[in-house]
Amino acid sequence: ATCVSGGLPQPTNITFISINMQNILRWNPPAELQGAEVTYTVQYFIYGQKKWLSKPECRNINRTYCDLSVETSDYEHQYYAKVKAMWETNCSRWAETTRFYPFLETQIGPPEVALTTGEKSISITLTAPEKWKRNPEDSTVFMQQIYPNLKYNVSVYNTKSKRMWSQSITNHTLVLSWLEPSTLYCVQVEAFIPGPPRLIQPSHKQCVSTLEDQASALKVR
Amino acid sequence: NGVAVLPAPQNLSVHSTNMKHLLTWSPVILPGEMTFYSVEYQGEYESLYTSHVWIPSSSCSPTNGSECDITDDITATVPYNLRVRTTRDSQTSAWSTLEHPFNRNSTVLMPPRMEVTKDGFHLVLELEDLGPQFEFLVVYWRREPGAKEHAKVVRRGGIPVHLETMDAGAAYCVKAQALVKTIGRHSAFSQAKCVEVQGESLPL
Amino acid sequence: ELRTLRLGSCVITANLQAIRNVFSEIRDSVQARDENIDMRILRNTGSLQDTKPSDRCCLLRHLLRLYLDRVFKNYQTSDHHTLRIISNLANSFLTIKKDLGICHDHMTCHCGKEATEKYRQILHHFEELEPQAAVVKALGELNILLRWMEEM
Repeated sequence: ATCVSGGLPQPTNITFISINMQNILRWNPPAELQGAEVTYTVQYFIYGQKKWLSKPECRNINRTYCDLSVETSDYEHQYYAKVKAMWETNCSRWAETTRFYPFLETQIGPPEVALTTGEKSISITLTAPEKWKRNPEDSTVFMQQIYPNLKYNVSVYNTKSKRMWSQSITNHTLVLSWLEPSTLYCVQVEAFIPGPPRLIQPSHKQCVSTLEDQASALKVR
Repeated sequence: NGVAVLPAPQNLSVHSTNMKHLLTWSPVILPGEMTFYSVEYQGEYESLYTSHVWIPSSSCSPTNGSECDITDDITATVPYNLRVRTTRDSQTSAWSTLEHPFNRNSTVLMPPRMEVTKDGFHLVLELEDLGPQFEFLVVYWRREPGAKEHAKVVRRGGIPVHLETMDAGAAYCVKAQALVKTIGRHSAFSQAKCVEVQGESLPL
Repeated sequence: ELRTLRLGSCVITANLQAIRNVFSEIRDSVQARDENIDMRILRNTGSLQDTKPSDRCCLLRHLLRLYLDRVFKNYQTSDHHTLRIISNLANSFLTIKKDLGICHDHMTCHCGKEATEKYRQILHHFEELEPQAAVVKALGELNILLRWMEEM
């Protein structure tokens, strides 16, 4: 639909939010039009190619995000996206992202962390973060396959001694042995890739208590 | 038009320790108002490809002290030319240029400070945070005759790192050296520090 | 973390991570000046990693010379921070080029037909653009060059 371009202020803070290669374009409504029945149209561009492309599911929408994961799934390419706002017969000029390079900019989501406790030990089992996939039945690709130098930082906090220490590992299991019995330990893990700064997403902090010392338990009986 | 009427700074020299580089010179004593200085640098690239180009130092253009932290300017392992001049209002001195170009691979590397502690049976080490250029080779062993040394590379200082799960009743010692891969050098090892674990040896 | 680059029988190390960290400080501002986003100088067809190993050293040497001779020194900016970052990048690339020069002296940096043809194409894409536009685009594509180098 034709509209008077520039009649509206542009959407603001347009950016790709990328986690494990799920690339969602987000923006804020034009400043003065909060609450108005504004709709938006999105286009994207593959750097070095010839023209802007549309995504039908993101034409005349009233939400302020658009999932462009499919369109930007080749993480070796670089992309732009743009959005314009429309209201009645007026529309804004396009608001454009900076050049987006998924391989360099995607955030690495936290691994899944499973803790099992023993008398004086805690076994930590990590499940590597998975790359976004188009269909649930697609085969799983782990982020470690894309970034071979991916590491995990495991932070352990002893709530009794109030001491914290960390370990950097690359494999997916770690056994903390010779811990203090009947003691609450908190564990948090983050996946990171050496290189330019990326936003880091640590796992939720999980606290478990080591079991009671069997020897002292027997003495008590 | 800023003709050189002010005396130029003398005795330029660079003092570099643990990849922190400090350019110093003799202060120019002038009556009246405060004297300022401007520092500029030129890497090997500039001297080879654009010899007319000098880059203002990130932290000392201008400065009123007689020294300049040039650490953030010396960012590659190549020879750098450095020059300083005196400025006051529109008046400037001639440039004084460091006699020999400075290369960061000549920095003096000192052993890292470290704190060796334990949390129950766990040997924990916190190394001095010397910045992103540094890694550390950590060597630790159980203090007993013929003990085998273990080595581990620690990527960063400033955070407590788990080294080893210790045996009850034993003592463990740790020493560390700083590594700077960008200049391919390392420091001497630090003095060893030891901790002892309470309790008698555990039944096998 | 130093990266080992295997360029046929020429093997060098380079701190690509530090270079990336530095470039990330000016990447958005440099790329924002590139108005020819439908053009690409470093294209997948000419990539280093898809070049046979024995030709990689020569192709990389040509590329570094392009950046040292025609990009870093010609990027026009009045911003001192950008100037310092470019000096950092240029001196870091100069260090790598010197290492490649040692390989050349030891006859392990042979220029075969593939390297020569790929570089000719890259140069053609570079020279298709107006000079300052080409400089801006090439600097904005440093990410791609670093990615090629990491893949070797």
